[in-house]
Amino acid sequence: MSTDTLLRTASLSLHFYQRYGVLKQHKNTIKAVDGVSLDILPGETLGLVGESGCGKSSLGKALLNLHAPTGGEVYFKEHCLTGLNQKQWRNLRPQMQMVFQDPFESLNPRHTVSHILEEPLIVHQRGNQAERHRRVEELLEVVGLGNDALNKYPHEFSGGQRQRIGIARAIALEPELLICDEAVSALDVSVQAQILNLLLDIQQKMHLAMLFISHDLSVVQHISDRIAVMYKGKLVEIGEAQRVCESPAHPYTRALLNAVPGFGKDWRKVEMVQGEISTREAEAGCAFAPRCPHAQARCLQDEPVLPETNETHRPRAACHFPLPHSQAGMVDS
Amino acid sequence: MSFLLDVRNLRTRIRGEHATHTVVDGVSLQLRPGETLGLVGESGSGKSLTALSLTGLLPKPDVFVDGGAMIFQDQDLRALSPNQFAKLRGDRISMIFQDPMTALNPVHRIGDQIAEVLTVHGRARKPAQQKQRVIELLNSVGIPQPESRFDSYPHELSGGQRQRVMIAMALACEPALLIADEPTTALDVTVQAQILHLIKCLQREHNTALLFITHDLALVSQISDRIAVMYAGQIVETAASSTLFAEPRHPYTRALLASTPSAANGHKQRLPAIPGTVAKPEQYGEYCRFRNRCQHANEHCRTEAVVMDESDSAHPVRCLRWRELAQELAHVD
Repeated sequence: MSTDTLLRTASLSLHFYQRYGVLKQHKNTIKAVDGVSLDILPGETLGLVGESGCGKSSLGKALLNLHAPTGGEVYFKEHCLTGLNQKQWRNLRPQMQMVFQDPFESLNPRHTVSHILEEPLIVHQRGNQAERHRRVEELLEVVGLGNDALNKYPHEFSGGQRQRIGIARAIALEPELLICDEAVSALDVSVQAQILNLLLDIQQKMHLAMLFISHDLSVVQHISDRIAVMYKGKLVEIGEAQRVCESPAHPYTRALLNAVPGFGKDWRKVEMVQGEISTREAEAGCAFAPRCPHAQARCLQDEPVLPETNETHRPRAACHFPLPHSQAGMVDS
Repeated sequence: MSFLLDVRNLRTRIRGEHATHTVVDGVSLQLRPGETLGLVGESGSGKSLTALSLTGLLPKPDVFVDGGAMIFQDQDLRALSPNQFAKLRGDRISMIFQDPMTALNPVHRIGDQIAEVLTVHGRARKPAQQKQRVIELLNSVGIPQPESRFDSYPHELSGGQRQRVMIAMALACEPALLIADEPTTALDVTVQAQILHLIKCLQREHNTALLFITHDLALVSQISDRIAVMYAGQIVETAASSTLFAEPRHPYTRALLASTPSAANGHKQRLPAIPGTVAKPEQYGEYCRFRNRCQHANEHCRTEAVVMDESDSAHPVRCLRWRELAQELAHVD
């Protein structure tokens, strides 16, 4: 792996253990993230898509140690993040920040906006009081809110404005990596575009890298340089955004693309995959095989791995029988 | 002209602590048997309250219908007593909601819940007959092994299957009108595609009229014959599905279409976002409610009341300037 990656994971896993039964004698392992290796370059946007329960949010949280990974490593620039203590994490946090889906729950309702935005600056001892206040005003301007917002509380704002506050807080310490977990999913269409524009502006201005986690492929396609697709805790496809969307290699990616509603599409012509993500422990073989229209005997027996490198320009896919080039995904109508 | 449902100037109001606000303001819509009408709007546009008004499910006394006419199969719905409404609901008018987990009773087996619909409306009275019919229904909505699923509880089913059960309940008495309020919003895209397909197939089989309520313009374009766009309690434009996307007349519809991420917007380019946020009921007034966010608004829009221009009965629009704008646009092209 080249040295200029900003963040890199090697076989990162996050397993949860569930005990059940009257005496809690049974144990169940939920593999939310299972051996994911990916990298994020400085200044790029990596889109992470998948359906609910595929582990995309868990991956985002594992990167920031909000859930401690149970296996594998995360490297941020030259640091290995595995096994860091709390103090070391605290020193690193300013460089990696997160924007959450629900700006209602992620902002303290009892704090004013100026308090919310100043807090990270206080915690990380940036500047004196006057400098901090100047910085808070600057942040509000960056995210398109006026100074009259300073002494208001989160409930006085609309969903879109609250998300702006959440973004302002995340960029207060000038991070190099911003993890956006379904950051626009709770917003109305007309407001969603505003927030996407804001994220694009900020990225250009601050040259920060983004991991953009979302279930919405059309949004991810718009904002990402590269797209990674997850299914049941594993990475099944990764590649350049346009290529993934125009000529996906994994049948699951194609199924997702086909299912995205589009203007002028006809419901009769939408190609569907059957079934849903099963929550049961995967047996042998490819996790998507039971739903896959192209599954063959081999798919049910050995599990395909994501190739580490790729000579062609096509996306890499964890599939024994990748789709041939030119089977268009989103472009058909 | 025989309409199955003919709503004229529906007005629904909410009694607040200090004032009473009109949240559905003069909504008119017509549905023929077997037809699909998509009702699109952002949160707070009044689309769900329109549906609840039609099904007599408004949380009275604070929310109530205050004007207009709702004629269903030559019967005035406003004149019905709560008891009469209950007889109609689930029989000739049915509704599916967004969240099947809260709409299903968690302590009853799904088979019994569907059978209850049959009992209440006096269909298939004998228990054996009833069970037969329920299994038939479960089968028709694509629940695998309906005989054994009969005894399942809602929590044992996945989100998609729960929505299938809701559809089975809604269609148990073969209603003439099905109202679906964001039925797929909580589902993953691949499951959403399955559920849409199911609803459309069943609709065609039984010639059911469908009022499909959603915030997703692209989705509704796939399944509707006609689409009505709501903004701030009013319908601002109604047109045939294909016309609406080819020649939107209202600036709001146009702006919505433009701000949706798509290939036409250019990868990683700023989206033409709609500024501001949706007007609140206390700010409604008689002028155009979109004027403060509209890039085409001029002094007329701020001083002249706007009404629905129904000169083109196939494509009514609530905008003072739509003719001028259409011409301007033609020039640009």
